[in-house]
Amino acid sequence: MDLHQKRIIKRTIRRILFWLVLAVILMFFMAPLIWLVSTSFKNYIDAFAMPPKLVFKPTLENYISVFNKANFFNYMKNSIVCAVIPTAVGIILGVPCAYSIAMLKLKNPKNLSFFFLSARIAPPIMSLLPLYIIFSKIGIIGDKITIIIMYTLMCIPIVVWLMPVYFRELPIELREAARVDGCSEFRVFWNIVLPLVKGAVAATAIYCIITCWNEFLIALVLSNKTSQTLPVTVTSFMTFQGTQWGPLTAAGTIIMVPMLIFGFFIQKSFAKGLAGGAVKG
Amino acid sequence: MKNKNRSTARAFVLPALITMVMIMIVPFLYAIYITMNDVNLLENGGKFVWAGLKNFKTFFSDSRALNSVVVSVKFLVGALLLETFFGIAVSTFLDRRFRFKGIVRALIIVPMFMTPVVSGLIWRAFFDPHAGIVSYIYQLIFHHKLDMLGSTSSALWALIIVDMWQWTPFMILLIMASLDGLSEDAVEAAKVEGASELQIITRVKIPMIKPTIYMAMMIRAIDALKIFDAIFVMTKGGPGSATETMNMYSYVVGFNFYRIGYATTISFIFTIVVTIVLSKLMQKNNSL
Repeated sequence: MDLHQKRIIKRTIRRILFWLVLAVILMFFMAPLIWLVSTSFKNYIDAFAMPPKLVFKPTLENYISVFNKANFFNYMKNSIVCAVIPTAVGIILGVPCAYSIAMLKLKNPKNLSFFFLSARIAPPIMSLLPLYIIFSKIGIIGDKITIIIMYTLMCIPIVVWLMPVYFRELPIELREAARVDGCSEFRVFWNIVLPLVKGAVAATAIYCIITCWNEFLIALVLSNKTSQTLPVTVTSFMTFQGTQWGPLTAAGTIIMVPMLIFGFFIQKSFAKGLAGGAVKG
Repeated sequence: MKNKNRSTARAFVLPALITMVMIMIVPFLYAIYITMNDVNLLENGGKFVWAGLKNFKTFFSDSRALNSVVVSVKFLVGALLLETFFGIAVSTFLDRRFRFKGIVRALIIVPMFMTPVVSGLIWRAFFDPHAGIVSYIYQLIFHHKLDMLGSTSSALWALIIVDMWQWTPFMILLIMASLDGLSEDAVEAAKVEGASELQIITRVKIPMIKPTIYMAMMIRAIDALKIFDAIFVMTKGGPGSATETMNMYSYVVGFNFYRIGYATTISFIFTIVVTIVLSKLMQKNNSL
């Protein structure tokens, strides 16, 4: 009886310790988001009260001032266009390419995947500098199309790099049976393979959208007052007079919330695509 | 039939390949030409003046450039080691059955989907010596002010902490996923033989998920070397040049000083070294 009680106490202590440590870990990873969202609903005085005010009267004034900022909706439209078009191009060109590398008899698939991998590794500033000169010679600096081109350059390697895992997972018999039935390689891909991996294609597309949406360096260099995307807009709340934290946090919240929702949906399939065959599930 | 197979294979690859050659290889070849010229967008209309290998010689005698190499390496090593350690620690800590596991996991990985510019700004506010929460807590404990971003000795650490906060979740996501896929047998066998919990983690679990850890470290290395956003909004490479990575320095030379020739040289050296080393490492480990 005594021993039994001891064991129960021991287990309870362990459990409490577990949840305490877990709370600290969660606090560390969540604090910035909590601060961002709560500050966006605070007025100027509450925002920097120390210790932070946990109870305050929420205000929408920061959001109103963001939406009243000239062109905010225009910048949001830029962000959407600069994320969706490169993603679409990346998927249309990248998925067949990844399929070919994974499943079809190419001469040297290793060299090809090495090429796309190096495109993933190379820092964007390497392409940004020469393309900046080329774009200004053609006279399209400041046009959205320049950002779209650079983002396409990011998206294609991402697709080619993430997708092969999902193709390799498909049973080989499936493809062979269809081939014996006289289907062309293209029909096999389009009618049989593609419907089976459409979940993975969607997850990869969402990952591309998040990457483009969050991108900053390229947008900073190539955009101007009319073509800027939201991450650049956020930095415009840092002025010489000081940083307007209220509107900045409101804008930050608006930018991030959709990406966090997207991220929530793709987390599992993303882990699998990245870790390759090492991850199941 | 075999030939037809191969031609379809080619037809599937070519559009992506041609596009990449047009927007990556052609500019890259042009970049090599640019490195051999003096190009200053502020002087004589950005005309190219042939300079041979002068830009490369400048690089190796430019103390600010060499400093940026050191900063990049320090940042890479610091961030990579901390993220790997905490990634493994947190994942193995969470590798048990408990209520709300799915929600906990989803909450922990939130930072990796946050816009880096915005999270950089948040942490800038946190590190603010007067109104930031980090400084506030530090002052409660040590009774004097802390200005991490303002001092040359700690600014890089502040950036490493931010990178760790944002990307340890990436490690956790991958490691937890592969821990979930492990078979219970080996762990059970070790338990029967009386291994302690720590022994099970270090001798059984970690060796089994090594490929995933390795892969995650590679991806982190690639992206840690490219870091720009957080540095740009938190320190702009300062104070002095304490947090100026190679990536940041070539941005400053290119788009603040408009010395495109030299900036291209810096990013060329950076790209060649990084790409060759990392892609060889990744290929060797068959992580393609």
